[in-house]
Amino acid sequence: MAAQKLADAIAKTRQHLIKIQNQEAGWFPYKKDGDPSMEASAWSLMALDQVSAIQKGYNFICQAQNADGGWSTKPDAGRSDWTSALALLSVRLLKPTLQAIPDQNLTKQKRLVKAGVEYLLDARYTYKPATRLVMLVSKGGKALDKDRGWPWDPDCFHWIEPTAYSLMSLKLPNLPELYGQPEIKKVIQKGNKFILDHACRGGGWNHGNDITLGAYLPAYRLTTAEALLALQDLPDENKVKAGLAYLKTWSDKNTSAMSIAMSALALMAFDQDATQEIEMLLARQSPEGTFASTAVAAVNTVTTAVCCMALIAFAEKKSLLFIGRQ
Amino acid sequence: MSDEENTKSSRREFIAATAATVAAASLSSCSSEQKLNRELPVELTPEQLAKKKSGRSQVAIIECKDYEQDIFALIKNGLGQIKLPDLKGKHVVLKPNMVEYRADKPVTTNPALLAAAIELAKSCGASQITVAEGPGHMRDTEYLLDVTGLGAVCKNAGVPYVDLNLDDLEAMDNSNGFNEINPFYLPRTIVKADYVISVPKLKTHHWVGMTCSMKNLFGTVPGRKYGWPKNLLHIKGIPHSIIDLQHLVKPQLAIVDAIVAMEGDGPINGMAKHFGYVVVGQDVAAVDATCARMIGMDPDELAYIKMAGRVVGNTDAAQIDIFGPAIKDIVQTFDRPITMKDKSLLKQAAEQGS
Repeated sequence: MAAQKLADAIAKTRQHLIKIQNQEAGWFPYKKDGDPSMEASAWSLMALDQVSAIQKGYNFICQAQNADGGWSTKPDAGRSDWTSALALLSVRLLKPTLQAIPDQNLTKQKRLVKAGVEYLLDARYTYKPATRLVMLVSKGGKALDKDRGWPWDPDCFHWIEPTAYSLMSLKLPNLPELYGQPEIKKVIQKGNKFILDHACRGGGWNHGNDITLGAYLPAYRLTTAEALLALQDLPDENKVKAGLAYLKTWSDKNTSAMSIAMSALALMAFDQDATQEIEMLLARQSPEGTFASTAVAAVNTVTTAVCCMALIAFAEKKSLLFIGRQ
Repeated sequence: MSDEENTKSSRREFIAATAATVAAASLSSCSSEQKLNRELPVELTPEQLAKKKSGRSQVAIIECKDYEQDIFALIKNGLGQIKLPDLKGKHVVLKPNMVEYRADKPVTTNPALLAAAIELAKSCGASQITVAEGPGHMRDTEYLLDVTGLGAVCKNAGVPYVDLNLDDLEAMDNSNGFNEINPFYLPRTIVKADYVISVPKLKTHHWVGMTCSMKNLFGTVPGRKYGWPKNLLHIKGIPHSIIDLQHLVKPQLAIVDAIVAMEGDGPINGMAKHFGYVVVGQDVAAVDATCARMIGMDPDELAYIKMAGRVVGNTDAAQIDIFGPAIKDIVQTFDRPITMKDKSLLKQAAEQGS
């Protein structure tokens, strides 16, 4: 694959992302002319390399952090939710870029990250105290030692995607003072266990229901890729191997841009070839730099940014999302 | 063991037993499990009762053997005395069911039915038509649009599709609602629409018995706020949330795909059941109650339909004028989901959530 072709594609997509960034406030919308989206902002900032755009976006994320340390899907849209993981992920990944900017308030950044990590540690779905007491009395201490992931909304159960994003944001290196803490290690282990325990028969993951009312449910391509990215530090786990094998069965299928891009990132995180996926993405790129749907789905910023990240990873043989081996 | 040790032991046992009792009592009043299975209220406020549609309702049952037929023409000719709305100058939003995809199961609204619904909206003079859905289980909307064929329908008809999961948000006042989510965030496309048409697939449903035009509105709830699946709505009560959505979204017409329906372990894992009908009506409660009767269910057996009869529209057969065949002549008793045969299975929702 021609390096220049890849470089041009990446540049075009980055230009598009900068074009749709809100120039005053620094945020990105899900779709052109839309309202702020924390998820779109986080992914876009991870895909960009222009320092001024990143700085503006970073300022938006700082200002949008809630008092509890988390973030909401957009500012003033209720309590902190699953997008906290992505906001934290992007801030942690932007650290090297931000450090290069003169007069950056690194103490402020450190505080923000610490509060974000603490929010994630508190936000895991857990049983209420009364329920825990009943479990303790009726089933003993082991009953409380359940695998545990993260919810979409603080009041709901834990699911694969928010758990995967949260794990990624906690597992990234560069914050050894946090990563090394036993409490965080334990939380990560429980999150890993949650994902592993919810693998579908035949390999891979869906949204989080591998079995419902006795029926075994199939995996999806996108959620499998997301789960694998979160578990890339556990390549020897059988369920990870099975998930990877499942993901490879999709390699020749030109499905959605989002699932192809996330698959490419997951495959590359395990040192697997993603040429087919990248060729599919390049073939789908529109003149504006977005990744057009084969049907009519409106182009969305998250898809564009994730596609951009996959192209960058392929071109540079590395990615910000590659956590490395434990 | 000494008397003192005996006393200590008894005291410990007493404390443990008391703690368990107190905890059990607390659990029964506040746990997720309890919320998932909690009943709808019996006593309703005057504000809630006032939301019920007044007057009689009309429902058309239109025979349509398969998806190869001219469904639009069949609907136009089979409406009986149901007068189609004047949609001149209106923005119409069509909401199909595209919750998930299974190659061998009729999970989603059939593309041919969506095409007919678009044609119907055009024929009524709609100035703008949008197809909108926020898939419940998969956030990979582009994939779903491709594999279900619904995306191709939009493309061929020149109608835009809006992913309601990622749409801009509007905070809706739900202070008179049932599910205690307030404000209830909804997609701007739905809130600003002049006319919302629910275009569901008729299926059995393992948590609420049946899904049709009212339950279909779960897909209007934005995933960006409530997730994939929209599990908070389960936690806060599925029947409660279904009712609240009727009052907030205000669907004005239902066009039900009951040509090939689903029975058994719906809404995803059930079996295809050829039925051969399209059901149309402006009162979604009446449409759903009629569909329940058509598949051999008593609407009053389904908590949300029973409640809809009090606060949404007519579910009493005596208040519904049927155009088309009499229900007794076409009823097919669908295989019920196992949760309707064994109610204790509903408790599994506390662990599984969806």
